Amino acid sequence: MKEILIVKNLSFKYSDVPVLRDVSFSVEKGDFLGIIGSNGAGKSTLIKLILGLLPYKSGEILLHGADVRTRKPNVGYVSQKVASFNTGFPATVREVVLSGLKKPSLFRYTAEDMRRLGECLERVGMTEYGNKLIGRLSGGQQQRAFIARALIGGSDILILDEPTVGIDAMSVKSIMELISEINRSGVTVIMTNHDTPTLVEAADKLLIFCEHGNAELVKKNELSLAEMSELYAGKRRHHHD
Amino acid sequence: MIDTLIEMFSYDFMQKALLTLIIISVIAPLIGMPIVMKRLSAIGDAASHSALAGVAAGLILGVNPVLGAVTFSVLAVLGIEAFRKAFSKYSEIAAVVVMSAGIGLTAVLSGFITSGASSINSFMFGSIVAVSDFEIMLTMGLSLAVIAVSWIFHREIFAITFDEEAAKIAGLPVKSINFLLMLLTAITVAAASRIVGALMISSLLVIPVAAAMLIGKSYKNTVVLSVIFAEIFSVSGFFVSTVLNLRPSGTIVLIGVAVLLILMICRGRDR
Ligand SMILES: Nc1ncnc2c1ncn2[C@@H]1O[C@H](COP(=O)(O)OP(=O)(O)OP(=O)(O)O)[C@@H](O)[C@H]1O
Ligand SMILES: [Mg+2]
Repeated sequence: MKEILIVKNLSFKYSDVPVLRDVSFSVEKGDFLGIIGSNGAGKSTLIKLILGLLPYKSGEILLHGADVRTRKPNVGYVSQKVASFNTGFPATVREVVLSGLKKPSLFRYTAEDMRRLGECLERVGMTEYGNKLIGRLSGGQQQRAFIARALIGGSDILILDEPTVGIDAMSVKSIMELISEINRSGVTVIMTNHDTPTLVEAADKLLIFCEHGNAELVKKNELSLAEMSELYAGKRRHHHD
Repeated sequence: MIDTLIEMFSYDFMQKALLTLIIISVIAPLIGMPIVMKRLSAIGDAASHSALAGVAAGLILGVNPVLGAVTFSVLAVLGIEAFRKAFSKYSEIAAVVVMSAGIGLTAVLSGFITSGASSINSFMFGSIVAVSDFEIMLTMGLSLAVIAVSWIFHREIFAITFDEEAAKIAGLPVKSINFLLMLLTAITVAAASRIVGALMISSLLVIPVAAAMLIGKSYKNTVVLSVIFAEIFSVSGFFVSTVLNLRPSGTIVLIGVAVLLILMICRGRDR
């Protein structure tokens, strides 16, 4: 089974507002899927559905072969936290990263927990910042810590919802490089981003939201040059903003 | 002055009161930390004002007032949970509604207390003289339970306090832990109302945590510091009030506020 995520005929409404209409696509192990769409297209909604945070009635989402409604999916998740989190919170990077462990061991961290902590901090280049208060770091460093927290659970799939919002341009570039590197190490990546060109650059598959809640999956290497430049120019994003 | 102290501490009730105060000063910041970080301090107020209504009800019905306080303060957090569903996102509204109900009920019920009308007063501002052995045992038992539960679940409590959404995705039982936290708050408030006073307990939940946050180097370090601050405030307040013949709870809170202000000024100067 190469398919890690299968979405079949998924439709979703918030009470009366239809957001997704008959969306179908699949993601294979090792893919980098970029989700593209204008504001309010339904990108975050789709991600919340995949994470099992929203109930849906019509269609199916299978993650690791299991329905996300019945079994809590094992995924690493990074949200747009940097922009919203309470910087006065007295927690160190270590403490934050360790809080991503799936089943916290009682009382003491095991040697395995600590080994994973060291490994994840190293992967995101934050080894020296383990004991620093997270609120005192730059936006880019904070997001690296959140990526480490998403990795420490040991999931083979990483979902990121606009991970670069509120981060300065230099750090955005290095965060995108980090995400690509994580993807190359075998972790399946699904992410949204407002900066379409950057995302098209990094991804190998694109889920493009059209109007009326439809979305189509395209492989980047199957796109023609004209379609590609359209995407880069953002023409297929149906700007409402 | 030394003589006064020695004489005072030869009394059994003074020793017991100090011991109880020391244990309450462990649980108040322990619970205060997640409550403050989640910006839910209003829940402490709602629980403590409802606890007062429980004291009044206990005095009327002839039930031990501390038991009444525990019952009502647990009912208060259950009420907040119920209201919260109606005003999701505005948990303060729920807390204020329940607090209002608590104050209203206290005012009405206290009109029916025939004997020992000063009792409700002693629960408002705390009292060390009036505490019975049963109440000390009850307070100790509840406090030990709060310490044990918050120790067992400290990882979960941290994860949920820092980021509820991420905790949910990591598979933690977010709703149950949140509820547990509310329950622990209710118990802490009720347990402390006897000695510290219902109107003072919120301060003991919040002030040591606020002081610790100014200098804490990590979450764990901040929790430890907040317990140390609470102990310093309450033990020194206890002695100062004994020597100067002041109300202990008020003295404790005022010392806490003074220390917090000094820390804030020092920190401001460092910058
Ligand atoms: N909790 C909610 N209740 C009702 N409607 C909602 C809710 N959350 C989102 N919506 C609506 O659903 C639609 C899709 O929202 P969603 O957040 O998924 O969009 P998005 O593609 O992530 O947009 P953005 O690029 O701005 O992040 C929007 O029209 C939004 O108004
Ligand atoms: Mg979004």
